[in-house]
Amino acid sequence: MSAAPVDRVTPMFWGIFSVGGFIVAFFLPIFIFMNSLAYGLHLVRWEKVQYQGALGWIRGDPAAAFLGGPLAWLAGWLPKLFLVVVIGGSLFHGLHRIKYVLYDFGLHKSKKVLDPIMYGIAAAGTVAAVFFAFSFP
Amino acid sequence: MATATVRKPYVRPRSALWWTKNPRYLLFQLRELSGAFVVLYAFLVLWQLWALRGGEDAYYSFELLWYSRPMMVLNAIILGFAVLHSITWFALTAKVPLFRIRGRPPPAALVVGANVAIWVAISYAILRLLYGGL
Amino acid sequence: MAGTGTTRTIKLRIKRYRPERSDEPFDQEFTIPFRDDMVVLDALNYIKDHIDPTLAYRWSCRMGICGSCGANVDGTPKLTCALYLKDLRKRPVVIEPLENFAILKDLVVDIEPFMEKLESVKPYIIRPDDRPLERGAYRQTPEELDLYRQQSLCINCMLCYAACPVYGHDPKFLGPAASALALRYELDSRDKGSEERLAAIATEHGIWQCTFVGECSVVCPKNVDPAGAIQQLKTRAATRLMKAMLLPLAPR
Repeated sequence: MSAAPVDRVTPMFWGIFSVGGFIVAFFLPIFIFMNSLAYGLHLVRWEKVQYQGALGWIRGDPAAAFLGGPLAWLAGWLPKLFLVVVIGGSLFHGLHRIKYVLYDFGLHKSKKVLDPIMYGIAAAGTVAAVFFAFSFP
Repeated sequence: MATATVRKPYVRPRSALWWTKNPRYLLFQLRELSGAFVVLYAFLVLWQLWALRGGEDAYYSFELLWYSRPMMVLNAIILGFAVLHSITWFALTAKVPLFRIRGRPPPAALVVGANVAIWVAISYAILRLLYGGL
Repeated sequence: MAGTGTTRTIKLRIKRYRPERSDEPFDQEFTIPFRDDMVVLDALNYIKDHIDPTLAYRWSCRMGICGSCGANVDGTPKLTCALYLKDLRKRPVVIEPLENFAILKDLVVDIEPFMEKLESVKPYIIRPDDRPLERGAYRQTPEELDLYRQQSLCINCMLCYAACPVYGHDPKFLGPAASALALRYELDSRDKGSEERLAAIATEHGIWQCTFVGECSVVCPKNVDPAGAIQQLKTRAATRLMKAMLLPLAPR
């Protein structure tokens, strides 16, 4: 049986998928809860989720209040980095999984077309996240 | 010898519903489906950021949708799948022992338990640090 | 078989295939005497001995170590010698050839591709420096043996391939047993062939196809845990690649 070429691309995306899986597992549930459900469940006040409150969140106001003193400069970075990591991790992890589900439905024959599309969407989404998140003060 | 040997291997067609054959296959498909919901949420958040960039009126219109009942239901479903991902993820990572205790990999229950504890701790840290608590 | 009063019987439905007779498999039902101490293999042997001598199936040791007698019983891959009839709920008991394999005749499937996969993982000690015989054997402590003991218990019964949906849609997939065999050598302290072996299995139809369904480990009669083995191999291969990319001059 002749040796097939070593695949260097798949392990790289598997590695990103794994890191993404870690991020989704630990960071996503609390984010979904706070970002989408907490207000509707009357656990958070309107002033925190309306426009100015949302801007404040992304500016890092709660973080600055928590950190205080010498680490306050970090506060502005934290929510933005958090968004990028959560969005990027979710996209690379989820699209990798969807890719394999599609393989299972017979699309593994279109691998060479499907793979770039899936990872392309993930990359585009991550770039958009960086752009959007850091477009705020 | 009445008939000569005939070699004609028969390949059985594979059912597209193979995953309905047992509960573990079904759990696997749901686990993989959680990937789709997680991607959906990422796009929803990108939409949210886009609306936030649009200014006060744009964001207010967005929030009318975001906190509407159907959206709350969708997000609750997404949260359900995210939690399913977390639990199954902890169980999967238990299969790759990062260290050994006296030559044996650590028991699965210990690894999953430790992961859940870390999950709770990290969630609380995010809650306090990024949101300033409830 | 002389019975006092009523003899218990059991009905089985077997998926048969006679290539010289038809293009498609067909079901055939048999009703046989039933005792509590019978396993599925005993039922097959009874049919062959008393009812239909043309029934074709593999078996050998009848004690769960040779790996010959795999079949799908009531939809689950099992060793027919290790499954008691009395533990089966459905009637008739449905016996089919091992799932995901091409059928040659009756319950006999084509195992040639599986054999090739086993060979492809280089299942032997690889060392750049083979010691001369006079220097004696390579020594190994019981702890070092323990590291790969689990993976060494595989009996090549192929139940894991019957359970694997990835193998179901991609017959070229390396699969659970061959991967566990690769790990067995990876974890062997005497082996120095990581680079060669990982290169052989980290290919397009190799370990990366696995989506960790995990059913292979559920059906394995020897608790080899091939699913865990593949994840360990993925981690090893990915780590190796990262090291090679980030530290190209470091010794492997």
